[in-house]
Amino acid sequence: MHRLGIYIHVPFCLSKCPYCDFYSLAVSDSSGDEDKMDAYVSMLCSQLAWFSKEYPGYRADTVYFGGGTPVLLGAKRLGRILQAVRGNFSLVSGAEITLEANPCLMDEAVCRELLSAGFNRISIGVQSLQEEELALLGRRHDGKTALAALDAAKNAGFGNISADLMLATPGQTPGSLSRTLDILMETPVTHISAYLLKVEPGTPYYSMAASGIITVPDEDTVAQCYQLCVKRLTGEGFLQYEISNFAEPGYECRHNLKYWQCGEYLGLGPHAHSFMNGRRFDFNATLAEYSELWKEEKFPMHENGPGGDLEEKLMLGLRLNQGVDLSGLNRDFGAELSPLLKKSREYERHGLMKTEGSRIFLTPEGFLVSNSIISGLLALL
Amino acid sequence: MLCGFKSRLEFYSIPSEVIFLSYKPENIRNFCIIAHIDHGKSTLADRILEKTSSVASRDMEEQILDNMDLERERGITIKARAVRLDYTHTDGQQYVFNLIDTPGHVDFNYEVSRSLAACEGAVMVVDASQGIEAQTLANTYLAIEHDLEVVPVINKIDLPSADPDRVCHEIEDIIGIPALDAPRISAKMSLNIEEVLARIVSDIPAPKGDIDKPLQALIFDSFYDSYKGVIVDVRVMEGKIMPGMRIKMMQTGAEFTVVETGYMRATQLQSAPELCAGEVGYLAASIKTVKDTRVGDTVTGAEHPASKPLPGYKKVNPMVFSGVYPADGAKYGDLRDALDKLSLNDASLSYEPETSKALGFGFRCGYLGLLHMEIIQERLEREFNLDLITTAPSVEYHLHLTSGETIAMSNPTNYPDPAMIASSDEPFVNAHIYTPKDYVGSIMDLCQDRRGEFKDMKYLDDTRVDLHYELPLNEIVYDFFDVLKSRTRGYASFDYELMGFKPSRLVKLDILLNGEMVDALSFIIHADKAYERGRKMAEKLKENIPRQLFEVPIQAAVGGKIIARETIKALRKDVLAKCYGGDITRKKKLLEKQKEGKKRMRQVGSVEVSQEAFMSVLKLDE
Repeated sequence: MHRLGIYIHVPFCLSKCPYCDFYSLAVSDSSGDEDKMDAYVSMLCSQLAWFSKEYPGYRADTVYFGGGTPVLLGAKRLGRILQAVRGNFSLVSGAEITLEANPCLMDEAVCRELLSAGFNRISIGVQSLQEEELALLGRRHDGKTALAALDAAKNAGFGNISADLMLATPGQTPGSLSRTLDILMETPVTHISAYLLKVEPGTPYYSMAASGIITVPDEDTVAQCYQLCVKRLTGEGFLQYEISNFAEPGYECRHNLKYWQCGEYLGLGPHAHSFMNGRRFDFNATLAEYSELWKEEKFPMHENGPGGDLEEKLMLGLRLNQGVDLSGLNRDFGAELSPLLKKSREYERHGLMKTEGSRIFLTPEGFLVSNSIISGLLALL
Repeated sequence: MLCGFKSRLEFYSIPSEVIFLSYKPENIRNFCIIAHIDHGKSTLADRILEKTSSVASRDMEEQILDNMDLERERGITIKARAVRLDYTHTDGQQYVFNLIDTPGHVDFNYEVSRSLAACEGAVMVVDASQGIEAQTLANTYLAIEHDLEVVPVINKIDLPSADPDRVCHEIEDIIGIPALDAPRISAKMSLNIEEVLARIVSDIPAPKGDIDKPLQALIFDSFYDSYKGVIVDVRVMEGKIMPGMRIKMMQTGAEFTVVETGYMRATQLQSAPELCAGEVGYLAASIKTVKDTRVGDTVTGAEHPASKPLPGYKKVNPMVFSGVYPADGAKYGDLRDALDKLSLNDASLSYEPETSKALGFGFRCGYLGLLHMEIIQERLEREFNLDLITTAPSVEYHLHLTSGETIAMSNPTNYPDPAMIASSDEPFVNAHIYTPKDYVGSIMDLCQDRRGEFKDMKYLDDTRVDLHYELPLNEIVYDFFDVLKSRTRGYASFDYELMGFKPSRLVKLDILLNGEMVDALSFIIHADKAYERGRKMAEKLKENIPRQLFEVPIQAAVGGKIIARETIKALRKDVLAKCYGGDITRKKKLLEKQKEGKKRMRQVGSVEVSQEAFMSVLKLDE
């Protein structure tokens, strides 16, 4: 039986953050939207059934609810979906089941409901603990709310608690980041995802940055913030296991690791991505289109070609702390990889990589310029 | 098929019985058309071909004599080509017109002069609105020097800005030949062409020459045909040539047996039993390479040779050099083959293998001038599909060493240790710039900036001026012409000829990237210009080299001393932090793009530079 990660996209938000380019729609407390969410959940459940019949031989070992704001669905609906996963994909015991949550919408009661529904990991969108930074990010909560959410999760009984942080956001300095980290270290987090802000075309942030309404920190500040974060977190017992992810030992996100290790996963919902049977595909449609097509048991499949090839193993594997073993890749793909080893040693001289025998991996300095390094190595293939 | 050419003209022979005129030298007219660029030389040639019914109008491919794609595209004639036309004049007599088409660019002056030597007359075409320009003058003086009868023709009278009266006066005043009753035509509209033909008959003398004297035939062009070998275009001055005859090239001493003789018709070769004194035609003698048929050489009989060769032969030397390298090192063989093929038809192209640490294996090519260089490079890229890296054009210097030896040097990497150089000379040219008087100041600044020495200024008329400067050749090879054009909004024209070598304080400028010298970027330059050039190159490199993962110092040095520097900061951030729900594809696309970009980079020492960046620095486009 193959192991499969299940990703469920929940495309609903109370409001859209100005920097976000993930697919989501605004909802409110109205009954119309309640119906919409019910319909969505029903659709997902039947889709899970469909996929399990279409692709037998899989057992789910991780489930991840992302969005949007998944917690908006509420514990009951989320529970229904999890049931469908269990029923159709023989969820393994001890599977990692994650929910992304917005601090505004969490209290101890909600967290208890989520635990009952089956979740054992919660990822809270903290982003920052500095009020000015949160305001500039257009977040609906303040620092206090975030801290309260973290405590609520812990008190309700969550043992596996992750916080999302954003680095090099408008107004952030190494100093202010340091203060955020100070506070965060006092909370019960077991995992931190620290993402460098990327201003994406098509988002309000893009035009705001272009017109000077917001100022994005310069490259040197970005580098400093990142290095500071790495140093601080690793100093406090978190292992940096991926470019942007830090975990106490044993608390790595198993679902996300599938992405970097070319594991298989099924993503359901508009614009969700999948990798199954060697194929990468996604659903290239709005929620409306997606729902329409499903009425005829059709999916708006967008093929992205085969996956799991040598290039992917390299580009994804090098995002991980452990890097890649070139002789292993040589064996699996029959490729001549000594030019890559040679280049890695050059990068090593500049402190950007390390080599241990045939294993190559990036240092934190290397992570910062990983695109250049990885594309440089790929060019040698 | 012409080897290596995309030729629209097919050359094959027609048996001579089909059309054969009896030999009547008094009815032969050998002439060329001379003009400044774009004054209508080729259009007039087209009309003459039409009017002599050598080509049916419907078969007329515009400007049929320009049979290379490149020529057609640039609207210029590169190679000379001759064509024999039959003309029945209004007096009822049959005439033979031998129209010799000449290259219209200063780089090919020598070829022009040998084509002129094959003629008795020159039809001088002047644009009725532009009037006399640089090459009108240059070529007309050349024609007069060769004792040609110059027949002026005023063209483009259809243009609203045409002022034929003014131009006639210009011709009379500046050149000093009668022009008031010159034919006024429009070649484009096919107006008054008959007048030109009549003048050719009446004003251009018939050729002289004795068919019983020992053979003396002037080679004015040649081209390689894969079936017949080299086809040699000749003007027979004395004697005659026929198949079976053993001939000798008087300058090279090479001997051959003539296989075929004949005439060049508009669209094909026509064999003839013999070529006689006064005639223009071709001979084929199973000659393997154009290097055996030097323009200006004299063909004579091996058994009864002439006592002297015809005057005017000159060994043509390349003036401008550049390094030519394949962008992909694996294509070196292709480049070599391409150069071999091009030189089949271009005896003035020289090339020698050379290597560069930065660029690998390539060739040092020698050209007659900048246009020649551009044409060769473009043909290599286009006809042979080669992606090339070419170094900036350079000239040949003479270095007098302390050992007493003098060396000629065109490749900066061969520059000896400065301590061994006692003195150095660089080539100079006599340059004439023809310009409206408004731009004189700006042009004088330019020439001064280029280390020019003012010689003379003459008024051509009340609006235009002829500026005479002595300029170092290496100051012209870069972009002098382009800057001249842009400073004068295109109105100035320019002509130059090599005048010899003069002493000069030269140094070698080196560029170092990340501490390592990049040989392809080295320059030989006048000592006073070294700092400015070094600074410009360093700036240009900084602009064009992408940031590396480490800091890159750029330095310009003379004799080991750093005279200019820039630094490229190290790249600090280039990462895709977040991955949305397993969207690997987006990441992949980005990295693929970067990867392709990197693949196109050249490794110059430890620094990655794109080919475009490298080329832009080599060319120093302003």
